[in-house]
Amino acid sequence: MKPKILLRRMLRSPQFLIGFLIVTTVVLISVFADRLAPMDENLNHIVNRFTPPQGLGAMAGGYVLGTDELGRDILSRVLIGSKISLTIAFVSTLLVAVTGTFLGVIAGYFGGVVDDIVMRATEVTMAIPSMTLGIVIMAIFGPSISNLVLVMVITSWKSFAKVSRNQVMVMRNREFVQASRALGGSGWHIMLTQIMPNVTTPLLIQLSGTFGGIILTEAGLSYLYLGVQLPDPSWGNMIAGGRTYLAAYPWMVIVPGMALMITVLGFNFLGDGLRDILDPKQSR
Amino acid sequence: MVKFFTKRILCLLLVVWIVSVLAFVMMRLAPGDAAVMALPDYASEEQIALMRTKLGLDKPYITQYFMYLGGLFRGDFGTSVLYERPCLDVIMERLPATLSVTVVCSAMVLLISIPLGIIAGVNKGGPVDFFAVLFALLGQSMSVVWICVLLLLLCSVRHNWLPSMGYEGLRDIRYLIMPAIAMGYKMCAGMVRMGRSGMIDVLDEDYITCAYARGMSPWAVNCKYAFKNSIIPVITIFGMDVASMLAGAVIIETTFTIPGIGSMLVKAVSNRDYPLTQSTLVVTAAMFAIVNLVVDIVNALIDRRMKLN
Amino acid sequence: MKKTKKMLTITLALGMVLTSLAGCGGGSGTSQPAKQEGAGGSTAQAPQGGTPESGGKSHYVNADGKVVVNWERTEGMQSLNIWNYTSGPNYAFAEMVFDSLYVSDHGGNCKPCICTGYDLSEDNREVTLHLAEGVKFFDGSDCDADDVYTQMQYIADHKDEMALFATNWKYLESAEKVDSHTVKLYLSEPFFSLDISLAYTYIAKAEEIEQYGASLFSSTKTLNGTGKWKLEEWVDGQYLKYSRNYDYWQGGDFTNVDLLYVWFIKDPTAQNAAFINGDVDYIDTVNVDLKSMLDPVADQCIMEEQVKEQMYYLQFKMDGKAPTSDQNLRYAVMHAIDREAFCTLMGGGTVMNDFFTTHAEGHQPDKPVIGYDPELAKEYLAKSGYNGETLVLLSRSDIDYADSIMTAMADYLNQIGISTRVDMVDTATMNSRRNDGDYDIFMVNLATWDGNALTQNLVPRVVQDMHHNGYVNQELNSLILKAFGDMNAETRTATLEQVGDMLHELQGPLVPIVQIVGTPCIRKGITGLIENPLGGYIITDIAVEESYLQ
Repeated sequence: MKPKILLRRMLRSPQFLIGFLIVTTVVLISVFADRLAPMDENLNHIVNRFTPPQGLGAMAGGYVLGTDELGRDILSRVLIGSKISLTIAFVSTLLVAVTGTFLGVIAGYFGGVVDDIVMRATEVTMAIPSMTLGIVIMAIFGPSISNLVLVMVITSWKSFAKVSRNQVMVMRNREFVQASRALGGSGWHIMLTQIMPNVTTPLLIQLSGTFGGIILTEAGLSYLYLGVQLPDPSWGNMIAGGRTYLAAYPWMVIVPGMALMITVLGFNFLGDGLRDILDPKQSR
Repeated sequence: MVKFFTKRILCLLLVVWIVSVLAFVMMRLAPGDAAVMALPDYASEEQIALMRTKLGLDKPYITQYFMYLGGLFRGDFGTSVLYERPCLDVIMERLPATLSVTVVCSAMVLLISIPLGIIAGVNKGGPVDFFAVLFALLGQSMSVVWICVLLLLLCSVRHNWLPSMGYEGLRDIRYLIMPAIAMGYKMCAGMVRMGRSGMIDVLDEDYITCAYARGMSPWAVNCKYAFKNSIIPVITIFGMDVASMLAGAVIIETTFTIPGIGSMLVKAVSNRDYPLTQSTLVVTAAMFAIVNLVVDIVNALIDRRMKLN
Repeated sequence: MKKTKKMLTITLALGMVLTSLAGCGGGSGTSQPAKQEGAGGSTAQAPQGGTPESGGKSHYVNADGKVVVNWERTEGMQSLNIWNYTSGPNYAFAEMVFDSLYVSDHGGNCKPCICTGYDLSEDNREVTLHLAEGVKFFDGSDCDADDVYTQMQYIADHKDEMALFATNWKYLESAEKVDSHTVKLYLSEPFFSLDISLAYTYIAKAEEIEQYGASLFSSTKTLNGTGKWKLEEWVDGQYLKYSRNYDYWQGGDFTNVDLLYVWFIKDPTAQNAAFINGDVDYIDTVNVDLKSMLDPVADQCIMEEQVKEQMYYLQFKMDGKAPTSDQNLRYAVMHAIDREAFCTLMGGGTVMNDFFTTHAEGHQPDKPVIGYDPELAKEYLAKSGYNGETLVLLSRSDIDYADSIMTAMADYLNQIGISTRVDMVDTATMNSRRNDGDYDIFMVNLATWDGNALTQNLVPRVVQDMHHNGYVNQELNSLILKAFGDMNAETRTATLEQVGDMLHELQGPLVPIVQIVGTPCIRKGITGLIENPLGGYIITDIAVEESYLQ
């Protein structure tokens, strides 16, 4: 596809533009989080605990988005947390998508023993719940962000593998693939040029879903203190930590929850927009 | 057909076996020891050694594993260190609650997500689509941690629509509604998205155009061709999510006081209850494998191009 | 056509953002029932009023006319093992269904029960127990010397496999049946806590012990003894159902309650919800930060703060190599942390300057304060040999408020220039790391059982456990063991005060930080509760006031 056409399609897709805008903003915020954060994110002011959000009027020295149970500034924590959460989500999603899709496509295309091995592997990883895996991995290797990413990859790669494998299975028997094979195309060539473009749609959806899913999984793991370790903030451990206080001090959960929601929204728009743009079947 | 089933059942056993090995290895690698946990934290070295002998932990790992495997074949899952009862009893007591939540949740998810996804896909850009997309996006960005508490506060504390805790089996389904919603929302959201986009994709395909050209009504086209092909990824996702419902619902079980497998497993793992952890993982692995077998069969029946073998 | 579609997508996108914002806002609204609805909303719809004036049927009477009370406990029970004394839920079960030789209020006051008294030999090593007449098991059979003898002999033979209190029957060598109401015990060494040990010895049937041995508790789903209540049903992870033993050997009219459920609810919001809905009549510990949730039902409940004989303590690694082996660094740490602030976090509590909780033997209320003083802390830090090592703060993830306290502590230490790392780990990892010395400072909670720190705190944790820490203080240990073997309360207390002075001077290896406060919530109408100094209530005699039954 020519870059010019691509650009034109991009500019004409509002979904893509909104998604792009949100994602760029969020990424920029997380990159400059250190400068943007008005306070030290780990500094306690126990006398000021559970201060409700004071709004933008309190920009100078106040708590714009309130404080948590230790009196730490939630705005600063959300900003610094974005850095940690987005890094984990980016790295994990990338690793998950690459390993998952690669194994899935291979399994789907070659079938037979390869397929069996990959599929049994997905079933085995599915059979072990992420919480159990989290407890064991953190206990064996010690709690750290890289081990957290490891848990994420082990628990999430299977959905990419399964979806891409099933799509490839369907595609493999399609007329155009068979035609290409009859013309003597090699396995890898067919896989890259004929099959891959046709399995991207479910994968793009999977991708944007996984991104948010990883941040949420971290919230679930943080419930058992298996997420990002205290006292460092992440959206996940802020949501998990604030959950007890939801009935009385809801902002503790809502602020990181909203940040997460906007980010996920942005990535979903971007994913859907990209799908429309890259769609080979789209006319014009 | 017979060959297919033999092969799949062998595969199923293989998966369960690998899980049993992994569970064994993981538990031995983790710091801590079942014998230490069975005694007070100030127990003397001699007491610990005595307990290790009693639990059979003084034998080489290989012997321990084969003793465990041998027990599995005889239907003896070992005795839980934490519960001081046969593991199978503990699991069987917890299983009904987990299964009832899973059943109610699955029914709810399938009944909502498939129609919603498909209608949204067919009427792309319409009000139903708008609602479906919104529903899906909210579901994909809200943490279970949070949904649980919100549901509890809304349905139980504020309005007293549903009981806040407990479990009465499938006899009284009211107890299962909130756990099922909390468990199913995220799943449902993913499936709606998948179904919707699958439908949109399929409707663009040539054979659909052909079908229209042959003069078939939109209803017939949607039902006969589009539906069948767009549903495969949805069912695949469903199969995987059902698996995670069986033993991963720790937060839901804790919030709604449901005596399920998930919270028991976490307790067993954090107390290094070797026999109970291994047995629970083997039992849930067997169930996962069965669910997946069913999913594969359903997928194969829907799409004849995906041959059974 | 294309244009309208595009417009639609834009509005859709914007709409979605706004709706999700609004949806979230709505969510937050519903989460404040107390503030928005006032007292009317949720109480009006609650099925049971709970007060006698509410007109309808009494809250405590069920459809069959039975009096039912629903209790709540945070921690679930794993097994019926009445010999697992280290598990709170287990003894709570045992004291309902079994009678012990003596009865304890967990505060050090013991009175006779199955055992009416005992005689000691000259050297305090032979104990002759005199048993009560007419003690009956729930099925009507007699409980006599045979049962007591079998139980004591079993303990003597198997004490190393049991999760006994560290010191309970450690010195029991053997038992002997003298006649049908007399049993003799032989001890290898005398110990001060004989009454307490008797109070935690619940008597099961001799035939059952002989038949099942250690698998006694795994062989049945219910287990019953001579106690005031019968265990009807135990649903793991949900509840225990007790019914009154109408044929209790000391009279079955000790209460008017017929059925008693004990629910296990872990989540604080769920506990409050269950109380508001009338599903439970008691909350073991109300989360102080969620108290406002209970405002709409404030007229139905009684909430009083209870200072528990429980504390959080820090243990410093003192193996000579770890930075915390340095006394100056320990002083720096203790001055750097604001323990008053920890109390604020936990919704109450008392800063402890003494090793002993308020009602424990050896408690000295006027100990000098090691208070919050960052400047002084910096001075001590400068004097110490600390050069920038990262201190590992370790705690268990299942202890209430441990995460907040550890985080706050890390911040206090960072403020005076000590770098830290917080590790919150599961129970087994914690135990393993404690044994391996893989920490610098750890924090756990500890209760002072029976008004004495010797049995649970000093002997097991200082004398027996400290070698894992690479720290053995002969002088301290011999003082503790001297107190332990001392049957005279007065001299024992004096020795314990000396121990307290030493620990205070050292500020290590064990330093209590705060004594815990709990706030149970009881529905009006419940009486007969015996306050448990460890927190909560003993409910063997629980009853409902007649006026609440109409």
